Amino acid sequence: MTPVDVVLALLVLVGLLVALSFNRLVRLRNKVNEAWQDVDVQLQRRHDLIPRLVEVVEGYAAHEKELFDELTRLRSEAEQASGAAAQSAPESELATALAGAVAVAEGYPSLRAAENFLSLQKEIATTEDEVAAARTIYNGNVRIYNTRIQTFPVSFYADLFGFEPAEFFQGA
Amino acid sequence: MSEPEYREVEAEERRHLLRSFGYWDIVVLGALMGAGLGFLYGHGHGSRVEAWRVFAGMAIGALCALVAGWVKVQGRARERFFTRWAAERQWHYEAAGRPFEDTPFLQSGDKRRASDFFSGFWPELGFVLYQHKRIVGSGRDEQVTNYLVLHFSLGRPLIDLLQISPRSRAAELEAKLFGRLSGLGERIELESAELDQHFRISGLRGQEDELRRLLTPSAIVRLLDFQRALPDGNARFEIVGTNVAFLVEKTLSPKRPQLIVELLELWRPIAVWLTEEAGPEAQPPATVGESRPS
Repeated sequence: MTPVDVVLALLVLVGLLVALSFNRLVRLRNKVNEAWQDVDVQLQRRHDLIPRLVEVVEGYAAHEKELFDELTRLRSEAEQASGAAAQSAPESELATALAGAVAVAEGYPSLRAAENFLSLQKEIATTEDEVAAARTIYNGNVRIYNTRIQTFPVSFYADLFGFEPAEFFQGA
Repeated sequence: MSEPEYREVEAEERRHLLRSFGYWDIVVLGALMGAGLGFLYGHGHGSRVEAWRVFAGMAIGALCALVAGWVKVQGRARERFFTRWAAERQWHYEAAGRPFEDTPFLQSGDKRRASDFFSGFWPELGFVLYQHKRIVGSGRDEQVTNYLVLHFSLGRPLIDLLQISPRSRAAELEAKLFGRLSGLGERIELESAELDQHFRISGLRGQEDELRRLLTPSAIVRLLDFQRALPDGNARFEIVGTNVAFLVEKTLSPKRPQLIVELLELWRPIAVWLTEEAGPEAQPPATVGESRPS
C-alpha cells in the first residue's frame, strides 16, 4: 500500500463519517421542526379556546369586560408572533391571563356549576398540560440538536452545511 | 397489623426449625447416611476401611441436611413475609404460578418461569405484579433474565399492538445487516429525539396514525420521566388489546420489598393515562393462573 492509497482511504473514511453525521443532523433538525409543529398545534388549540371561554363567561359575568378584552388582545398578539423565540413572551402572557380568567370565572358559583364551563375548564387544563409537554419535547430536541452542532468535530462543518442553532421556546 | 420485617420473619422461621425435633432427626439421618456412604466408598477402594472416610461422609451428610434446612427456612420466610407484607396492603400473594403470556415479549424466550405473584387494587386499578424469568438457550449457554412485570387489563381494547422496548444499537445493527427484527411490529418514530435515544416504538403495520394519536406529547413526557427515574431499568411497555404489561429488569428480594411500591408509583402516571384513554372502568384483577394462555 502506497502513501497515496493510505491518504485516499483516510479521505474516503472521513467523507463517509461526515455523510453519516450529516444525515444524523438532518434527522435531528427534522425532529426539532416536527416537535415545533406539535407545540404550534397545541398553542392553536389554546387560542381556539379563548373565544369559547369569553362567550361562556360573558353570559354570567358581563362586567368583567376588561379582562376579556385583555385576553382577546393577548391572543391576537400571540397569533401575530412567529417562531419559538418571538412567541415565548406573548404566549407566557396569554397563559397567565387565561389562568387568571379561569380563576375569576370560578368565583361565580352559578358559572362554576354550569356544564359547558366545566367541560371548557377541563379542556383548558388538558390543553395546558399538552402545551407544557410539547414544549418539553421541543426544548429537549433543541438541546440535543444544538449540542450536536456546537461540539467537535461537527461544529467544523455544521455551519458550512447551513445548520443553524435552533431557538428554545421559553413560553408557558 | 404492623409492617413486617423480613429479618424478624426469617429469625422466627430459623428458631422454629431449630426447635423442631424432626430437623435434628434429619441431620442425624444425613450424618448416618453419609457415614454409610463413606464406609461403602472406602470398602470399594481397598481391603481396609479407613475411619477418616466414614467421618468425612458423616460430616458431608450432616452438612447437606443443615443446608437443606437453611434453604427451606429461606423459602418459607420469603413466602410468609410476602404474604404478610401483601396483606398489609390488602393485596394477595402467591409464591408460584404460571407466567402471563399474552404479549409478545412475555411469550418470548425458550422457557419462562414465574414466581412471587402480588395481586390487588392500586389504588383503583386491578393489577398483578410478579417476577418473570426469561430463559434463552440451554446448558452452559443458558441466559436467565429477571423481570418484574406489572400486568393489568383495560376496560376496552386500546390498540392491537404497541411495543415500547429499550433501544439496543446491537439489535438494530443486526436487523440492518441480516434483516432480522427482534420486535413483531413496524417501527414508528415519534417527534422526541430523547425518546428515540432510549426506546424503540413499534406497532402493527397500518396503525401508525392510531399510535401517534395515543402517544400524545404528555404521554411521551410520562415515558421520559419513567426513563429518567429508572435509567438502568431496561423498561418495556406492551399493550395488546386490553392486556397491558410493564416490565423492568429487576429481581425482587424480600429484603427490599419497597421496590414494588416504588415501581408502582413510577408506573402509575402511565397506567392512569392508559386507563383514562381506554375508559373509566378497569377490570377486576386477574387471579394467578387465570386467563393466561399457555
